[in-house]
Amino acid sequence: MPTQAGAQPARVGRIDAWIDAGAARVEQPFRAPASAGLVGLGVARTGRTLSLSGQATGTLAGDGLGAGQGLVVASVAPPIFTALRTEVGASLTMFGLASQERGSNGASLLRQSLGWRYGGVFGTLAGSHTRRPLPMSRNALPLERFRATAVDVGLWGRYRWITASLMRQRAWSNDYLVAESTGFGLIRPAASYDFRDLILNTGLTVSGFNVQGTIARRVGGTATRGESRAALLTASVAMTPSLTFVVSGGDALADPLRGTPQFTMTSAALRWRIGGRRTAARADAAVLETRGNGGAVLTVRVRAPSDARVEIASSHGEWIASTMPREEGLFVARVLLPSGTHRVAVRVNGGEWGAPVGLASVRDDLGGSAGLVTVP
Amino acid sequence: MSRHAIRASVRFASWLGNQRSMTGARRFAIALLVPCAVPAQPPAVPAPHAATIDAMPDAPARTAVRELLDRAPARGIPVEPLLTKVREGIAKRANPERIRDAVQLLSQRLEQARGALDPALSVAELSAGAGAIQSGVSLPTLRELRHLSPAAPLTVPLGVLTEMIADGVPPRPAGLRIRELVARGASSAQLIAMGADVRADVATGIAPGTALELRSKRVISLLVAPVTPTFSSPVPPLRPGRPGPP
Repeated sequence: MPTQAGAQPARVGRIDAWIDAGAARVEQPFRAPASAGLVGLGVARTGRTLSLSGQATGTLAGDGLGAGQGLVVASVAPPIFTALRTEVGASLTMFGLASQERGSNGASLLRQSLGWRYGGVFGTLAGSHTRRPLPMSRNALPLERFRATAVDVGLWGRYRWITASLMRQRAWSNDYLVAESTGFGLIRPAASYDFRDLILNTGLTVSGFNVQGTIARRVGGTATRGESRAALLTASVAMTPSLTFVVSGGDALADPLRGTPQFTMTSAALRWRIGGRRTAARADAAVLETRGNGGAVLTVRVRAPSDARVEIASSHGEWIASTMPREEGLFVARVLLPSGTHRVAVRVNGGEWGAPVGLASVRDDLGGSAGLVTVP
Repeated sequence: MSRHAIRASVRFASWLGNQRSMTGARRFAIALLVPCAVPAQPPAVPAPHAATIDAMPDAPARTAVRELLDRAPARGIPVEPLLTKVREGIAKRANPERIRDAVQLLSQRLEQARGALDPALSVAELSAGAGAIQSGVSLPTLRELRHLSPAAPLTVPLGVLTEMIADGVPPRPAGLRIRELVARGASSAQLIAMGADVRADVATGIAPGTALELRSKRVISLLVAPVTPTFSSPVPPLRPGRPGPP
């Protein structure tokens, strides 16, 4: 399951949505390297007590092996003790959408996490998948069904801009194709393969740049013999507040829960964030231009329908409201402010007063908010 | 002194003055009483501002606000920010009780800021201090900032600090960073630019605390070593060379 233990929401109370588009080069055991186009969309809402996220991804490989995947994860914490978070999730994948080789998998997880900046996590996971392999002859092969369960336990922590987690996972699966394709076998009869993984995740976020690394080692336990390793690196650069470039390279272990084999991948994608946090780079963000002799001109822009009535008021102007004229599709006001701290608010069609976009929003003790601006 | 007492004093002084044979004792009594009959200072709420308060519809709330404004000079806090809050409440059509509560809260914060920033260098600085307190900045942080910057106004550092907290940076690390920057002599322009950079970083998805760390270190690298490295003492015992109140 593509969730990371200990991952905490960075921004609380907001809904983010994004669209991904890119390309990937994938190599799998016993299969020729394939290029694939990928598109995806996601939505996430992070909160102190309830976080929800959903993602859908579609890939279409050059050999016609298309796949569609959906993932939903919810994280719940009691309001009186938000350090205790319960994470539940489910994923569903359909592959072979455009070819004869078809199959599907579904997986679920239940994890309990404890801690704010660092802590522990443990969970249980279960998965089931079906696969109809490509026939080597004209005879149709039967549909095969596999099941897997897993438990994991680990530690996670966050210090300044670094995050890390170390997980120990043990999985039992009867999928012989996944096991044998990565060199695992049974030395005596057994009901399932026993995979024991050690997974280290690390992340670094610095000024719009994010890099995540995963190193994993798998060995067989009980009657299972074999060993495999994988390392995957993903980096993203925020080119603008809404556009991020993501590259990824490396290999990932086979997933016994979903029946996906070990693979080596190189990918590049653009992520476009829709809406989300209001940013200073928006066309309607307030701009402060300082003047040499002290003071500044604050330009406030408001996006509203052309027939709207938009007003602005400020503490410097004794809170006397004035109507903002419309310029090039936006309502614009330029306020001359002396040195000091000032509060500014706007409203549309006589509605609630609020902070203009691009200014820090502070409470006004009157049940609303205002924008705060500091002038040198 | 109440209005009735003033009126009685004036009557008594007038009676004394009308006596044909004024004794030395009477003259002494007049000398004592007449100054008492004249208010010691002009009213806290001048006539144009009184019109602002009169715009409040609710009489009890109006009276309460007027009393708060009247008492403000005696408490050492300026009337202007309180009047501005009244105007804000009226402009935003807040109910009178809410305006009264908001003015009361602001007057408390101004008083706290005055004590922590003593001597406050300007009304703007005091207002910025009240805003910082509202956002969660502690009084020891204000005192230490004043200790580090006894002669230069703290309006901009406090304003940037309040903005950063509003953007999601926790008050404690934000206060520590601003103290460090003030100690190293960061200019107003540097502080404001740093605040804007932090906001832009937060907007791109970076955790507010991380954004502050990164941006403040960029500014710090341009500055000299701190003049007063003792950040640990919450209240400096002595403040030699401090200028008097403006």
